[in-house]
Amino acid sequence: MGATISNVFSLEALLSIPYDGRMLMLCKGLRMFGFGFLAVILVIYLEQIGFSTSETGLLFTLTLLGDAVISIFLTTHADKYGRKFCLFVGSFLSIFTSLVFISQTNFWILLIAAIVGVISPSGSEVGPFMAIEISSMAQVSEDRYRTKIMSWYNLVGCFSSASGALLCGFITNNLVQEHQFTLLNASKFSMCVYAIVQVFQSFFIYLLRSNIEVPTPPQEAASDKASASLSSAAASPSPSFLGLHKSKFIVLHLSLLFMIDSFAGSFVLQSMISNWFFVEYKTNPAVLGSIIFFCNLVAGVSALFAATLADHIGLVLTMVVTHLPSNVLLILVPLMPNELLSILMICARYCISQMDVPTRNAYVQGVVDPDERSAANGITNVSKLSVPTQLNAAFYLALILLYCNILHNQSIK
Amino acid sequence: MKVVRSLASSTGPFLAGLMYERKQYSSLPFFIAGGLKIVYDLLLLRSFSQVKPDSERYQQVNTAAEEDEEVDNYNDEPTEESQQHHHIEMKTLIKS
Repeated sequence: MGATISNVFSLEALLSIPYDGRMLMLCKGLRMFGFGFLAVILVIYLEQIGFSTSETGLLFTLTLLGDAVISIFLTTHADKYGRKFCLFVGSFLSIFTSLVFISQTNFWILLIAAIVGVISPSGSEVGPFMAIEISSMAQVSEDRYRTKIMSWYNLVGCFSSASGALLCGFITNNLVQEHQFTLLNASKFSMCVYAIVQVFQSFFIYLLRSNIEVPTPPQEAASDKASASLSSAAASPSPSFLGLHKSKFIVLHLSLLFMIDSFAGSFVLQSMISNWFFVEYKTNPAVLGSIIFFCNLVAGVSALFAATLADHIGLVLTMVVTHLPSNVLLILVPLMPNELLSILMICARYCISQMDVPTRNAYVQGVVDPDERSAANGITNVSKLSVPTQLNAAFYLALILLYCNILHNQSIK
Repeated sequence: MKVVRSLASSTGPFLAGLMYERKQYSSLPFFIAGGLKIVYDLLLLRSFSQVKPDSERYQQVNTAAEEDEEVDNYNDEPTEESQQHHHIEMKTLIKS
């Protein structure tokens, strides 16, 4: 019995994570806690310091655009200039941005800080962190546990951002109700908590050792051999571009596919679904929001089963067999005869919707060389974070550059 | 700002917003999203079911015997070969 539970929940994999991996988990947890915390308070705070809704909208759009550009830049250079170093730069940028947000009230200053810095407006993962952490995690952990560890990593993120959001609501409410804080001061206090969490994150980044970096001597020999065998096939020396060398095709192809997925997802953002339920059934958006919030936590746990499944049928098949039913459920939502059944469909959909996330991450680590992982993660992940802004511009740009580079190499041949 | 607006208007949420606003089209975004995501799944399966990640190479010792191709892959640098295969596939895709 104990063995079964341990097997299903991948406890063995969790226990196998070495020191650096645990630090990475802590970083992820702290960061997502901070992002969840910030998501609740940021709009209120910006409103309190006198910004209009359209100004906030513009700020958020450009924030995400800036974050995407910074992420692409840092992730594509991380494997060359050091993963720890790039994590530090990202962490510094997010501390810098939060300090500017706390101390300044001029719209243009905040706008510039938001573009050149890293801050998450929606509580979702932004910046170069996840891409570099995943590649580092794949570096320090055992290959056979990789998918399971990715699931735990995802789960830590889910629960941290949820608890951050809950705690922030609680603290802000408490300060205003019990301690006679004005809403401005209470939200400013919460912004400070967020900044402190960021500082803690950079402390854990500091504790990382060089084990997370790309291993140099033996790996180089291997990749030399690989590029030699490849150059005979592709008739090009596979020069490094955007941090990728021999896996350019695979990353481009995967990115295009992930782009279809994220483009499709942009038709059913959570706010739109809430609105649809309100128009169709007069469902209270707050109630639906809480239900989906809960389902998202279940989703984190369900992803652990995906890892067990992947051990048996392989990563690609797992991605497909878990992702496909969730979309059949999505199609069924508007076809249901009543409110209850529609809500059940959407719940079931959200509960299994995360199952392909860790498998996808593990798969990307597995098909590219170790020294391309950060870049591959960065490029394939940027599509997801820019969905809320409706702007995939940076992502498109990266893909177009990659495509041109491939064509260029072809023409040399 | 104009550039931002026109970029935004060409993407999903804007189109979805237009559909959600009209009662007779309001379920369309669900069908488009679900349908496109299923297309993604099928394309993924078609293009990548043969591209094994490094962690799955070892497991194939047992299962490979059933598929000749897999045996070849395993014997001689599996990912390299499947990636080469992939490269060639992509090259023909790009040329066509």
